Amino acid sequence: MLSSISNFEPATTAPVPKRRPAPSLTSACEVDRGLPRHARSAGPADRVPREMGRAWIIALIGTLAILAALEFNCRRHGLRPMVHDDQQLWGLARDSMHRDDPDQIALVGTSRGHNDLDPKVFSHEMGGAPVAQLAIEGATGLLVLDELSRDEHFRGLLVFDLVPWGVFGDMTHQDATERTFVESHLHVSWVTPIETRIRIALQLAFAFGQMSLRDFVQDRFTHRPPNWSQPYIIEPDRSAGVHWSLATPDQLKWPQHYAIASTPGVPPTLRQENLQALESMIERIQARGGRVVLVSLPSTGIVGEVEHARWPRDRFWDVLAAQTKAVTFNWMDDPRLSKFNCPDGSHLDMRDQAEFTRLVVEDLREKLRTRQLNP
Amino acid sequence: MAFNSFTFVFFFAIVLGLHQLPLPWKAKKLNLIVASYLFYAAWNPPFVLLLFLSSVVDFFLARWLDRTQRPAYRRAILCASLTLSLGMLAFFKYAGLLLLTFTQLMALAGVHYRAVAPDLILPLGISFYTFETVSYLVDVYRRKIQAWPSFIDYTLFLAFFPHLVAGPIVRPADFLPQCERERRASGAEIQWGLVLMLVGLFEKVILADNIMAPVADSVYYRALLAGSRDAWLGTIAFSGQVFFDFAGYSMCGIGAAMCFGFALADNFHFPYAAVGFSDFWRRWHISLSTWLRDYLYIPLGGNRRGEARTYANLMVTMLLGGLWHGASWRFVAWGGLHGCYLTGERTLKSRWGNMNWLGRWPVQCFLAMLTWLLVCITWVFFRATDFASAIHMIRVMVYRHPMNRIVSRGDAAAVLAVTAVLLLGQWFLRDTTLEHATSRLPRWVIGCALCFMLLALCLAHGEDRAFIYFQF
Repeated sequence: MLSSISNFEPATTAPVPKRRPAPSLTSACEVDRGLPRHARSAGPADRVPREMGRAWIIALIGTLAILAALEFNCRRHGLRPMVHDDQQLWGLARDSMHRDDPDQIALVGTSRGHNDLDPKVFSHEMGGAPVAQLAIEGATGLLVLDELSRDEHFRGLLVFDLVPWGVFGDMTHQDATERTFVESHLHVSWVTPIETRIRIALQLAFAFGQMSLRDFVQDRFTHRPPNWSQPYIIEPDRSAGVHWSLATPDQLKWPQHYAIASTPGVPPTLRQENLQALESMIERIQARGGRVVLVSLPSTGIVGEVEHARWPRDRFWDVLAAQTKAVTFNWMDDPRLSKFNCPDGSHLDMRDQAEFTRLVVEDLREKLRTRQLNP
Repeated sequence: MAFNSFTFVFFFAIVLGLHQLPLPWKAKKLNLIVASYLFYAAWNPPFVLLLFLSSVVDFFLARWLDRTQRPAYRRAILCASLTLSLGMLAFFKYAGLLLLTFTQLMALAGVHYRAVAPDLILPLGISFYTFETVSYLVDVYRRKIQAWPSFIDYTLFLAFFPHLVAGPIVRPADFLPQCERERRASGAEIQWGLVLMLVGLFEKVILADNIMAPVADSVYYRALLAGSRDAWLGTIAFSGQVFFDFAGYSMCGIGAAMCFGFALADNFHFPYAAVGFSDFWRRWHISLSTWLRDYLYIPLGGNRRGEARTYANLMVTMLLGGLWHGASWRFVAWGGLHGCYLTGERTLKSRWGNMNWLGRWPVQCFLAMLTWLLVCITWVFFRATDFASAIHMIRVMVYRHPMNRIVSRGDAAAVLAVTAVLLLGQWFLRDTTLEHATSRLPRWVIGCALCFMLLALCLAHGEDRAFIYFQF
């Protein structure tokens, strides 16, 4: 069987004029006899099959007509144009941070910080300080914290919302999306902001951008009715929120499934090395005059129960709070915050966001003032 | 600036618009040079100076070489030029690898030496334009071409943006004569150039980035956890990704050049329909394989110095070809595996290559499949992040090893469907060209295909990925 590999002559059955492939690496003798060295072309004209004007007209008219119909249909079903929360948008928020500004605030962390805290309200409550929303969906925020701790020009306030499995769990398992975001920011070129602004302009112009080709194809194959609801909202400054009343049952149950699925039998133990790694990042920021606040944001229902059973506060959060030099704030410490409910167990509804942020900032201001008086 | 960006769309429209103005040819060439430098500066502006320096040095060295008659002087000039060009490439690309290898060898000898890692950024496209300057100098040295008199033409040859960053590796004898007379694409050429660009973008954005890459990434990020099923799926997905990514880039480049009236040679010719590995290398990255043949394999003696020397030359060429791809021993292993395939094929062919039944189509079809499968195995070294992952992947691909599923059934179906279409399409088109195949289709069919690709590009979401060959 293997002996047959040696036959590399092209098949000779095709009835069309053939283009001679370039001589192979092993056919040096042929080359030395002066046969063509590689596929050359005197000009592009000999490579044009024929005039393509009519095909282009059909393509452009067809594309425009289908996109117009799609846009009309999307808007009819209530979809509205919105930006995509990708690495470019994150990079734009990261680049917007003021260098060496002690008033600069960075919100870093997970989807909880992204959906529960409103950067505009946060800024207003902090006296108009610039706030960059850098929390990433599905991430732990640790890579962003590390990147900011290494940025000598960051001297402001960093609010880090931590989830127990992110900081107390396996820290070596770092999220690929978060790594992509941070790395793409570190290797950004001067064209990237221009590209991002063009994208944002286009995304804010057309509602069909909210449709995913992948979902569209999957819906066709699975005979699933298309999902026109748009519960997740994201603004160009990365302010985000969820209208849970618009969510599908799957979207509502996903964090619960995740919480239950990620609960293996052996209870975790506190890893001192994790706390040390976190502390070294905090110390780097504090050493140049910056401040760090570690925040625990709400989880309720089944997610909250699973979380509190697996990561009991007295064995994890309280130990961290006692050891760290950062200011800490746990939502359970303020009874006013207990009235907020997370419909999916992990994230607040958009309508609660402003009030929740206001109360959290009030608590944080108080904690920071106390720390300033008793360093 | 990548071809798959909105910035490039605006950039291209402006440059093409300026090229169509009734300006002198010299002004148009200057427009293309400025545009190409701007295109290059979009990544890292200081490296524009490196590109310009390379143009200046090699242009004047080539003229000096051309004027000089004494062989010893000519050799000295060529050596100086090659030292400069290849030295720059070695410094930027291989300094880290050399240092790491040296440190590891010292550790093996019991000496614990910790070197400071060189913090160097690899200038984009340096591997490509270095090979172009080398081919120019060597051709002038061999008196195959004369030193080109116009510096503007030479600068354009080296910097022309459609081929600057990731090829095709253009030969001076092909490109420079095109700079003599005004190039202005006809309407049909622009239309076909845009078709090539659209097909290239579709290959890159939809097929490579949206279908193949997520599967390949998910498997190779967790390579040590992959079982047989996922290892094969991830590798097949990567074989498709690397083809669509690189062939898509080449097609965009050829199409963009065509819009300006320039012809670039083909870089791919349905490589996954190759029957045997010499056939594969006639069809895969043609501009690199022919470059290696002309400037490395033949100068080493090619196949004219006996069988043993031929095998050695093949291995050296493929190992260096592998190393060209990246500063890692994994790429050397990839090249070495291809070298083994080529030498094995040569041995088998010399014994049994003339048997008539080998020409029958079922046998050819079987051999093409076998070639593709063996090529897939080489991609493991190309994609894996380290040797341990690569060896684990190959082990589980060869021996059945069930583990938890990484790739979902839907993603697996999509990868296999696209791969089947790719292989069948390439098999049926292997002896023809895209141009010829297109000319047989009715216009409305082409129009619908273009419409489908445009719509897919408009509706595609997903992570932006750089072209794979940018890293080389």
